[in-house]
Amino acid sequence: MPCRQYEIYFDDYIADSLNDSQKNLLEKHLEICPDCRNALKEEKELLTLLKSSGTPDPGETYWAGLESSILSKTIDRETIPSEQQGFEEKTPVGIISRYLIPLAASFILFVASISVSVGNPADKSPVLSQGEEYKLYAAEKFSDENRINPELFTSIMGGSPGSFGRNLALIGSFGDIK
Amino acid sequence: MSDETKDLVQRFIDGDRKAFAELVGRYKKRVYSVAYQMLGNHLDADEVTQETFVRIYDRRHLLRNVNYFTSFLMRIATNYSIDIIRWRQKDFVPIDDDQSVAAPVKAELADKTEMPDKQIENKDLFERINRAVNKLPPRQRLTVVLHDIEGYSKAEVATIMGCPQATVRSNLHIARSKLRKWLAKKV
Repeated sequence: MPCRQYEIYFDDYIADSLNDSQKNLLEKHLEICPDCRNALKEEKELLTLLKSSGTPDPGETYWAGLESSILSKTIDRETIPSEQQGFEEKTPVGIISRYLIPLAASFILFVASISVSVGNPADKSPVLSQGEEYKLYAAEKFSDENRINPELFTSIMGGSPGSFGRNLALIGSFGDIK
Repeated sequence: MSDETKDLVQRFIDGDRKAFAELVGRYKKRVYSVAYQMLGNHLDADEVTQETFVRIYDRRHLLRNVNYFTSFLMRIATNYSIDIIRWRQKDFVPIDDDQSVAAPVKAELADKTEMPDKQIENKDLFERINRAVNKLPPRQRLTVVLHDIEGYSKAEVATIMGCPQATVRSNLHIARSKLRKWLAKKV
């Protein structure tokens, strides 16, 4: 067994909580392994030192002040509303105010929005895509009353008079570009 | 935990402020000591101690079983200590950069520990030990503080930390190896 696996038993060996067979096994290894003997010695020294490294006592004046400070803080918290302390209100009134009122408000808004959008079916206009809106706009723009001379149009925009229809289609297709 | 303490804890859960005051009196030094060992200074230990008792007061309704009072209290204290350590991680100095920890203390240690009854008075030595402990990662530091310094059993440490005992053993083994290495360096 490699040394690393014996090191795991050091803690229990120091605490004298190994069973006899484990203890014998470890002690036999320690007899032949100076590295492990040294490591065990260091671990014992470290533990003794850690146990003796007590916390400095800040003094009775501090302890008395600490107690009164903690008690006054907890008295203050009894006067603070529980919501500010991070508690949820468990009373029926608290549950109604926390959950039911927002739920009721959102339900009313939902019903109101449905009734407005349904309204009179005769008033309902079809929903157009952006591309269709452009086509409609172009058709109105170039309707009979507003029609401009294709030659004049192509002279302004460039290209041949035959491409007028294609340009119009292009205008309509702009709406499809994302 | 004695029956008297269990009775106190039950009264505290039921909202008795006198019982709470009594528990503060009994446990304040334990909480302060763990916090001091974890954080290494009085101001932080004081803050952790006060906040721990305020938090357990607020959360007393969560304490269903009186037997878990000590573990619950220490868990609040150690979690808050770890929070403080993590908030300050940005100021962390790697161990290899801090040569003061690696002072030649091994011979000094051997000399002192041969006399366990004699009170060790070397303040400088303890400061180096504390600095070395404070260089450990928070969970390993907590294991060493609770088990090796404060004397809690492995089962108690596992309950406080909310992990299996095997993890406690593993943390202890790694942490002690690091401490031995750091403190014995340059000997």
